[in-house]
Amino acid sequence: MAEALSAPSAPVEALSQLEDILLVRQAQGGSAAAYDELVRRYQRQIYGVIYHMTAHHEDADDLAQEVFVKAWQALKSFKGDSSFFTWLYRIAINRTLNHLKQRNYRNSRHAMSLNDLDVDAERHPDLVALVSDKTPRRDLALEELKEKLNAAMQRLSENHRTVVSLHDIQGLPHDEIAIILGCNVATVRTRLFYARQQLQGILSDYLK
Amino acid sequence: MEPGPNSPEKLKRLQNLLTLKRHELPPPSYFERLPRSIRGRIDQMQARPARFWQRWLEAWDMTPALTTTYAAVAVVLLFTATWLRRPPEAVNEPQLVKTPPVETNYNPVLITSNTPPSGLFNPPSLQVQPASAPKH
Repeated sequence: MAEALSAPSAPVEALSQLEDILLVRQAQGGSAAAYDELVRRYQRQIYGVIYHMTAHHEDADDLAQEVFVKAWQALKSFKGDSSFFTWLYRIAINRTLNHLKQRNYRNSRHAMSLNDLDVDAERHPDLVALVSDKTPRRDLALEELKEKLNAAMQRLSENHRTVVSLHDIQGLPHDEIAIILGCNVATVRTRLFYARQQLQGILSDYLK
Repeated sequence: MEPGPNSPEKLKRLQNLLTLKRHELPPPSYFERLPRSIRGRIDQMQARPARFWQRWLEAWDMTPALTTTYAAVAVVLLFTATWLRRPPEAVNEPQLVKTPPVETNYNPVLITSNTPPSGLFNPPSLQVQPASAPKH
C-alpha cells in the first residue's frame, strides 16, 4: 500500500483497479488521470442525486460539473477522515441546496426535462404490476407516472427531498446520510418518515 | 380491506414507485462527455487561476457553517461599530429638552367688572370695593 501511495501515477488501465484513497493520494499529487478516474467512478451517483433534487437535467449537468471542479480545488484539504465518496456527496448536497435556495423552485414554473427510462425499468416486475394492475386507470403510461412522481418530489421541502433521494432512490444507509448531511441518524429517520407520509398523501391514487 | 396510511404495504408500494426514478437516464452518451467537460473546466481554471477573493467566496458553498460564522461575525462587528460611534456625553448625561418659545400675536385682554360674580365664596351680601381704572 505504501508503494502504491508513493507511486506518482499508475497506467490509465490500472487506475480503475485502485481503491479510492489511492486515487485521491495520486490526484493530490497532481495526477489528472487519477482524478478523472474518480470522476468516472462517481459521476452517475453525483449527477443522480442532483437530478433527483432539481428535477432538471441542464441544472444537474451544470451543478455536477461544478461539484467535481470544486472537489478538485479542495482536494488538498481532504484528509481522509471520511470516505471520498461521502466527502464528494457532501459537496454536492451543499451546492445543490444553495442552488435551490437561490432559485425558488416551488414557485417557478420550471419545466422538468425528464429523460428516458432505461430498458430495465420497463421490465421491472414491481413497476409493471404497479402500472398495469394496481392503478385505477389501467392505461396509465409509465411516462405519466414518472411525471407525477417528479412533481410529488418537488412538493417536498429541500431537506425531505434530500433524504428521499439519498435513501429511497439511491439506497444509501441512514448512518451514511447522517454523515453527509452533518446531522444525527434520528433526524434522518424523522425526515424520511415525514417525507414518505407526504408522498403517500400526494401519490395516494397510485398506492391503492 | 384498504391498507392504512402508514401501513407497511403502502410503504412498500411507495418505495417501488420511487425505484422508478433509479432508471431515469440523462441524454445518450452524457456520461461519456461529462468527464471531458469537467477536465476542460479544470484546465481552464488552472490556466486562469481565480483571485483570492473569488476562491474565498467559492469556499462558502463548500461549508455552510463557515458562511454562517462569517455572517455572525459581520453582524457583531456592525453592532459594535454602531455602539462605539455613539458620542460619550450622549451616553452619560441626561439631556434637557428645551422647547423653543412660541411667538404669537395673541394679546390677552383682561375683562374686569366692578361687580364680582356671586357664588359660594362671594355671597351677594358681601361688600366689594369697585375696581378703579388706572389713571394715566
